[in-house]
Amino acid sequence: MPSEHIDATLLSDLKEVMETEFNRLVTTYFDDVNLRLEALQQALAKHDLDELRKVAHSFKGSSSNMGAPRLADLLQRMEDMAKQGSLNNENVLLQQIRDEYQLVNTELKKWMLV
Amino acid sequence: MDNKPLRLLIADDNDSDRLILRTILEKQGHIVFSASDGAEALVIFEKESPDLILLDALMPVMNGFEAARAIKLAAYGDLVPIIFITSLKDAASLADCLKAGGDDFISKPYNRIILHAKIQAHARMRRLHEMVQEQRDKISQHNDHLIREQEVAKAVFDNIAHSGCIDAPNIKSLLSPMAVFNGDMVLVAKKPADGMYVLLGDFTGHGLPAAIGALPASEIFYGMSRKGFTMQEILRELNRKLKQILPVGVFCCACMLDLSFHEGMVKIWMGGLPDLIVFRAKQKKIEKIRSKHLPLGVLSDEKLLLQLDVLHLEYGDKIYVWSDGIHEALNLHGEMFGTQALDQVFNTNLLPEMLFDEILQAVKAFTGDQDQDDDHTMVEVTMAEEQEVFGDRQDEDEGFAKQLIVMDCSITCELRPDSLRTFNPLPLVTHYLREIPGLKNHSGKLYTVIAELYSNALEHGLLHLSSSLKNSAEGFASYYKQRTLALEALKQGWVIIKLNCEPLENRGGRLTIRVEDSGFGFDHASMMENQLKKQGYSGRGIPLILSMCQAVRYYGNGNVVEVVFDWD
Repeated sequence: MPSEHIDATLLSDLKEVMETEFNRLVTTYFDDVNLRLEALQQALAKHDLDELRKVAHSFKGSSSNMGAPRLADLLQRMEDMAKQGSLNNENVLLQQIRDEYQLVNTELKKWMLV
Repeated sequence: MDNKPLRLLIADDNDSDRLILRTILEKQGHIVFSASDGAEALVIFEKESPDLILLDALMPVMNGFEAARAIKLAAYGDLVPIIFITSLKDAASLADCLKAGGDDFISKPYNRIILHAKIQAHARMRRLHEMVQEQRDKISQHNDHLIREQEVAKAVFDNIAHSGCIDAPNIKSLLSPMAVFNGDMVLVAKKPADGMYVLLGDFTGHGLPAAIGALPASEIFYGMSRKGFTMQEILRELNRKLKQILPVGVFCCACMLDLSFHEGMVKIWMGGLPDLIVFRAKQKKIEKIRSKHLPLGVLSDEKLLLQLDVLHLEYGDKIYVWSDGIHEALNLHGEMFGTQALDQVFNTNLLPEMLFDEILQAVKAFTGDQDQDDDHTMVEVTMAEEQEVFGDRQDEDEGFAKQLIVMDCSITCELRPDSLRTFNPLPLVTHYLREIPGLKNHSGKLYTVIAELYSNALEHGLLHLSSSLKNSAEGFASYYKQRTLALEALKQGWVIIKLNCEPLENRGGRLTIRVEDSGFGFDHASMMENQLKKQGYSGRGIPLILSMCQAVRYYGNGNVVEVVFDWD
């Protein structure tokens, strides 16, 4: 996996734009991710590929905006899989997404303190 | 201009993405409305009318594509740029964004510089579109205004042009305008005594500039016809007026007919129009009369020639006058209808009453119902009996009401060679008679009487022309030619017209018309005897006069005649 966990350039830009709103943005993202992870889990359980694709797509968009390119790439794979309609090791991928998010979460918390 | 704040609508189901986008855009100075799905975006769009919309492609409830279609529909003709924000990467999905009505797309993660540049570019497009719409509305308003003005002008024109008798049963006319009006006119007026004048005019150009000359032209035509002026006098005045008012290069191709039912005769003047056709109903043959003059409004008064063609017409004979629109009508291949095709219509005709419609049908069939390139204007005049044409039609009112009590007076008018050559006393005399209460309704009759007496005095008394010439159809032309020559050569002599008016006790009054000439006179006693027996329309027209008046008396050598007319 070539991408970094965190795109530092993008994040410092974002922090500059958001100013005092940066911390609120990060917590908004965390809240959002919790909902998305839950939704992914459920879509997989129900084998609802359309829902899976939409959630992965949206989750991917916000993660790329939050400077988490590697997480975005994993979600892209989930989205593609859902789109093609052929699931393959989907639970492994979901676990990879959870693990990657934990790393991003830790990194972003550090950025909140800077 | 580039940094003017815009009202932007953003729609994204992702709270964090929306927060970032909103913050970036507000920092750039814009007013931002946000929605979390497509349906909410549509509601806000209708409430706030934003300048520009940023839509996430995939959203719950109503996705970006559906929202874009609904918004474009709700915007009517307004240009509301829609920029899709998407993390879609494949070309097909990006193309879908544009197909749904999107104007552009940007991808996540946002790049502030690209975002700013794209928003400004689309804002410029929107302003440009607004400007175009404003100008389009302005043009449409101008056009409405122009059409209203033309309608008013046409109403005025119709009031003037239709004061004549274009509805007479022996007239068929076609005036098909390309615009509200087209610079073609067909005018028909009853002469005070026997007959009618017909004028077809085709002004150069089209539209208002071409039509404007028709107003003074029809005023002159109707005004002078009513007052009893001759065709030459009317044409001379029309030419003078049009030359004076029309700009260089604008003129009026025209043909005027002076139709006399009583004498079975037509006098024709043509300037610049295609050959006129006379259709002989009995023989089913056509004769063509070629224009010999320049159009009206070209030459100065001194240079204007008014040579007339004089033709004898039988009952039912028809005359066709047209603008070049008929001859120059084009078909699909750009060929002209032309004179041969027109002749063909006459050659194959069976019922003369159908000719007018057959000509129209032939032109229509030839052009294949294409839009007209030129104005098709045509008039058909049929020789008929005066009673058929006018019935009991009263003379048109001049439109000003005044009550003058002229009852007890006389006027005398003496004309010597120069005046006899150039001046027509009949309008003056008719005008005077119209001022007398009770005589106005007889002015047609009186015009006939005075015209007859005056022409007797001038043509027979002074110029010694023989009325027997007029007994044959060919004789007409040579009679009028001789008249012109003799009048030019006239060195001495005079004609005096005296009108005397007196009230009668308890009722109306008595008009005495006395016409005296300086000629040798004639054997009036025996002529009176012969005339009373003889039918016909030449030879001093005494039976006609007697049918209208109380008495006709000759004095001296027959060079003085007095007519008495009593009215109630």
